[in-house]
Amino acid sequence: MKRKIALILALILAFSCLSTFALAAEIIPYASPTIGAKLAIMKAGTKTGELRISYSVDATGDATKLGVSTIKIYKSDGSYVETIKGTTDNGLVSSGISHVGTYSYNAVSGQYYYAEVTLFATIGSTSDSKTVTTATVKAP
Amino acid sequence: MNIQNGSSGRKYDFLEQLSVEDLESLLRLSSDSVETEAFLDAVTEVIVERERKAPTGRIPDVDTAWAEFQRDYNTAKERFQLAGKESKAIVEERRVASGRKQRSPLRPWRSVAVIAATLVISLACMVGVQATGLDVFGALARWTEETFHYALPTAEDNPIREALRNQGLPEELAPTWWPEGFLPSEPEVYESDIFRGVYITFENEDCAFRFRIRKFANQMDMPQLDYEKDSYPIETYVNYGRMFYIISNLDDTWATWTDGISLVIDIDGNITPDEIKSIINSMGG
Repeated sequence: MKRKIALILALILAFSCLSTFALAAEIIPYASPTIGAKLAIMKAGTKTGELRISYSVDATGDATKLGVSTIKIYKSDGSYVETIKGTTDNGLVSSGISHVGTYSYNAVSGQYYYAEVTLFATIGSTSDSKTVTTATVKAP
Repeated sequence: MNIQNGSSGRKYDFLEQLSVEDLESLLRLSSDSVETEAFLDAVTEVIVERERKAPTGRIPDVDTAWAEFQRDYNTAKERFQLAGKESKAIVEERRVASGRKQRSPLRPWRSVAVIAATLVISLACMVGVQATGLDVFGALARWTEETFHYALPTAEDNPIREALRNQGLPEELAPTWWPEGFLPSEPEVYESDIFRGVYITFENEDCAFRFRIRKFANQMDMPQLDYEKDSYPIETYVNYGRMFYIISNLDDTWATWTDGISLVIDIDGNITPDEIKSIINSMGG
């Protein structure tokens, strides 16, 4: 009887291990061929209703294009507000090894917002992007 | 020195307050200066005087010491002549002063020889570097119409140090070594509400690496800086008390360090971890 119990436990343990290996094979490493480091933070500005979104994207080489592809603004309840597209004209897109800056957005004073900031880098023909969700901030 | 009268005067009266052990520790000082010699004589005086007033056996009886000297040193095989009459007091002084470091009469000449050897080796190295085409002597030489002198390398000779200094960043953190064949670019300044940074790219014909130093305005924002990594384990490397984390991100190797207050340094590129460690080692302490 004891031997049977021990055998059953051993089989359970073996199946558990096999399952773990199977799960591990499905995990995708969080790596990027073009982005080395990134940062996106939203804070209240000094002017009424101003939200300031600061960003930084470091490429793993000399990027032909890099920066912020989009900033999606949401209210604290998750309702969508607006999307700002990144361009060289508005300063959200540049080239080189890094792009760093702060973008000013006019929101409704007293309302709470968060942003989804998508950062990208293109090196040669390879491009990658990562999205960062900021903390919720009250517009001053 | 006249041990009976004492020549130390009132200058070292404070020695009376020290314990015998402290006084004996002081006797281990070694210097060629006249002032130190006078100080050590004063210490010796205090020890001898205390032993006379209250014998502890720390200093053997003079007669015993003299007998030991005659027995062990003034033998038929190793007999030597003493210059003049040795007073018992002087023998007693020498026993007390035995804790002092033995000063060799050759010491001054030995120091001169070391200095001379150092100068010769330095000059030989400079000549060797000069032969490779690098104008070492020109870099060190400074002159006007009236005077000529050598000058040590300054921040102007290392553009990275100058860039850090101009941005109010610690210039000693600038690397002073990088793999042969790589040339640094002009330092670039990056700025946002969150941090200000100086970035430099080092390139050769085939590849490049980057040195980034950032100063955060608010310590609480530093954890928001995310690094991409693959499944390769993170390695740590410590130099000058700084722990760098060496991260693998596919073809890119990334080393990062923070002082935990406001500074973050990153070195990344397609160079080997050993090369990154050598760059880290060149960053001052």
